[in-house]
Parts: sequence; C-alpha cells; structure tokens
Amino acid sequence: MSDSNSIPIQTSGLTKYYGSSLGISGLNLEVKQGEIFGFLGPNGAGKTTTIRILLDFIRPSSGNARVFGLDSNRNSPKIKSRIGYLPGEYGMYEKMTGFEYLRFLGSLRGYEKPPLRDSVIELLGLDISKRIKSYSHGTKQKLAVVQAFMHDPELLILDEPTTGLDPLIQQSFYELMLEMKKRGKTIFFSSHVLSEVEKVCDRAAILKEGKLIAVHEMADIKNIRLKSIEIIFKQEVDRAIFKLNGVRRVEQNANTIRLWVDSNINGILRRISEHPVENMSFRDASLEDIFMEYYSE
Amino acid sequence: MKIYLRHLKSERITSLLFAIFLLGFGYLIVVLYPEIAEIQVIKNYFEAMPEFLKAFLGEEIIDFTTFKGFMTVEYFNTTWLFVVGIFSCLMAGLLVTEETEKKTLEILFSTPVTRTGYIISKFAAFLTLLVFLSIASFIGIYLGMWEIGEQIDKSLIFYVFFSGTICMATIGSIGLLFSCIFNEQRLAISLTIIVFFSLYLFNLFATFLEQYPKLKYFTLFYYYDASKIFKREAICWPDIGILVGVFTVMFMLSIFFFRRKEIYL
Repeated sequence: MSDSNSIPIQTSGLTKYYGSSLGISGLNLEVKQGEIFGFLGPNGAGKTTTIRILLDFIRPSSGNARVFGLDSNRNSPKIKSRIGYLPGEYGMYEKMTGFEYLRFLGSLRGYEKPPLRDSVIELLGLDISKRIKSYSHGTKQKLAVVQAFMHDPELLILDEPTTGLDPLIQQSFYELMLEMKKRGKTIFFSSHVLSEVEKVCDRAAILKEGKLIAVHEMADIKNIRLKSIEIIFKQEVDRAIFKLNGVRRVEQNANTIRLWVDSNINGILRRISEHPVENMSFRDASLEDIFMEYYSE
Repeated sequence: MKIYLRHLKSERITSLLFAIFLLGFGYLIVVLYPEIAEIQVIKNYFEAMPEFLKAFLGEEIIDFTTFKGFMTVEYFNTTWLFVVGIFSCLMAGLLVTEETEKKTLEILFSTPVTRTGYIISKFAAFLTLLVFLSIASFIGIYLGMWEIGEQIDKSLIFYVFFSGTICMATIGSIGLLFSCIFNEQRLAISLTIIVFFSLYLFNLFATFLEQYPKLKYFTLFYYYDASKIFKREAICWPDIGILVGVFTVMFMLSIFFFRRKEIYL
C-alpha cells in the first residue's frame, strides 16, 4: 500500500461556495490512520460541508478531497465500501423495523449479517424488533450508530454523533469509539461538545467561518492550556489594568475579574497585589475556554 | 436489486389498488358492451357527432358500435389512458423526491450504491409496476370478452396494451427527470401531471388545426392510439420507436442530472 493510500482523509485547498455564500475556504486537512480526530466548530462553521464533500454528496468549488488516497468524487463507491457514516440529520424508512432497516443497509454492502451488528446493538441496548416510526429520537440515533459501525469499517465519519443519546449511552458510545481505535480504525467526528472531544480525541481541528484555524494534538492542548484566575476584589477595579503581557482575555462582573493567562504569571500577580483582594482562585482553563479563545480572536 | 425490491414493496398497496380498479373496470366495460351497443340513442348520438369530435376519440375513426370502437372510446383512449397516466405521473414524480424529502438519501448513499445504479433500480421498479397494471387491465378485458363471448384477436388487445405501456413509461421518464432535478415531491408530480395533460390537450388541438397537419407529431399521444392498431390490425413499430427514443433521452437526462445533483438535507 502506498503512503497516500494509507492516509484516511486528506483535503487540499478545499473550498465550497453555496451561491455567493462561503461554506468552507482553502481547507487543508490530514487525518492519520488509527486516530480519533475531532472536528470542532459552532453551527455554520463548515463541519458538515466538509463531511458532505468527503462523502460526495456535494462537490467542491475548488480544491480536492481524498479518502484512502482516492478522489472523493471519482471513486465514491470504492470509498464508501470502506467507511461507516453517521449523519447529523437523517431520515429512515419508517415503515421498516429496525431489523429490516439494518438488514437492508447491510445487504447494500454485501453482508447477510454484518460482523459487528449484534455486539453494537447489545452495547447500546437497542430493540430492533419494532417499526422505526415508533422509535424515539434517541432510539433512532442508536439505530443510526449501529448502521455506521455494524460492518466494521476502516474509517468512521460521524457528524455530531452523540446528539440525542442519553448520558449512559453516550458513555457506551465513547467506549465503542475507543474500542474501534484500539482495533486500528480511524474516526473523524464533528462535534461542538468539547468535553467529548477532550475525552476521546487524539487530535482536534478548530474551524471558524469556513476556515481551519488550528489543528492540535490533544496532549499539546492539555500542556499549553491556559490558566484561569478568578479574583474577587474588595472594591471594583478598572479591567484596563490587566492589559498586560500574557493576559489573553478578561471578563468583569462588578468586583469579580476573571483572567485567562498563558504566561507572565508573576507580573500579573504583582498587578493584582496592588489592589485589596477578598478572594482568589486558580484553575486550568477548560477546553471550552481554549475554544472560546480562538473564537474571540 | 435490493433497492428495486424495496421500492416494489413500498409501493405495493397503491399499485394493487390501481390494478384492482383497472381489472374491475375493464371487465365491467366489456360486459356492458352488448347492452350499450343495442341502445339506438347512443348509436344515433355517435353518428351525429361532428367529424372533428369523433377524431378526438381516435386518430383513425372506427365505428363506436363495434367492440373495437367501443373499447377505444370508452377504455383505451380515455379511462385507461388517464388512470394509468395519473399513476405514472404520481409514481415517477416521487421516485427520487420522496427520499429527498424524507431525508433517507444520505444514509443510503453512504453505502457503495452508485447514483446511476440507484436510478436504474428505482425506475425498473416503476416499470415493473406499470407492466403489472397493464397485465391486470388485460386480464380484466380478457375475462369480460370471455363472459360475453366476444371473439376478437387477443393479440390486438396485447398490441394496444404494449403501445400504451411504452407511452406511459415515456410519461414516467419525464416524471423521473423532474424527480431528479427538483427536491420537492409535490413540485415534481405537479409538473409531470401538467406535462401529461398539456400533451393530451395539444394532441386534441393538433387534430383541430387542419392547416398545421404536422403539429400532431409533437405530442406523445399521437404515437399511442388504440384506434390505429385496431384499424390496421398491427402494431405501429415506428410509433413505438419514437416513444422509446423519447424515453431513452429522458432517462439519460435523468441520470445526467442526478449524478451531478448536490444532496443537501
């Protein structure tokens, strides 16, 4: 297998316009074999657009997307035989039972009984004997998860996969993702739930207004993460005094000032000590704080 | 094949209802023929019709009081044409748009199904249902003829259904094209129905306009006319050829558009 064939996802200058409005712009992305890659961004950032191009539902205005080294448009059926996909929004054949639906989708992939079907059903606690129209949103989401995983694909593309799953099932779902990773599978998933990205991802990309603004190893993010300092002063102070080197963001609520700092801790502490302090706390900034930092820039 | 079978299954009830109606109506109209043929008022009424009005009911005017004439006017060029025509407009118009509206395409196309294969499977299912309706219609007519002891060549009846089925498949191919271009089921079906009735009306007006004799060649219904087959006692292969030609063009265009279509949900 050549090098490019072992790269599950690779995009180069990927751009998509919907009429005159921008979907994504100049996206250069590479997802490595065997990693869980998080794709972060708020609604409208271009996550789903990227995924739809990878799956050949829409075509790029310029640039190209390759999956396993194959062009996403020209080799679409070949690519799809190796992937599992969970859309963010979907419909199902409501008159079918869950079993019939899975059998139908399995048969389109050439399986009488897809290898992981029963184990994923069991893990998620799904009843496939009923008609889909009787399913709740959460149960439909479980069924959608099963259809994405059941044929043991090499690459999973998941668009906001935990939407509608209850917390216990979410936990099972994370375990399933980690189990797939252990078995050498690659997972590319979009989310705006930062805690789940933090929990399972090896790397994460941050998308803003259609542009890729950062790709980080999760370990690096944890190492370089911001510190959050909350200070309650005895009286209100002017937030402008914290326009210091190392202060990334300042929020004020009356006497309380919250700082996000990444360096110059001593200088900042000196400035704080110039004013009477009632209370003060330090903590590591969450991934959400880091994320907000990108979006506030 | 799986998509083909799934579509057949999902449309089985509607198709069965249409088939029962066509079988029952065909049978009924045939068994009523002997009595109607004897009613002098109807005979006189038909004979008194102006020529152009008779022409409405068949390109090659044949006697209404004969079995062939009666079946042309009461069934093949009217009831059967409209019932199966509406069926074709509905079924073909929803072939793709139904799935677009119900948002089932995204999961379906995450499997190795090709867009061309999908269109072929769906349209093949539609054609199968169309043939099923024609067979049900044929059985109805056949049972009726057996009941009243009418002895006309069964192959002529077969030729009429064969031509009619090809004509309706062509209407279906127009519906498929709309279904591939548009995302709304209602829009695709409405446009197909508009085209269907426009072509029918155009055929009637083309018959009126004697100064423009070539106009009639531009409507599909000129190429399906039971009276022509009954009069000539043979199938009109050039007509079939033209219908198949239009069908092929529409089908290829449908595939062309659907392969390029962006699936937004």
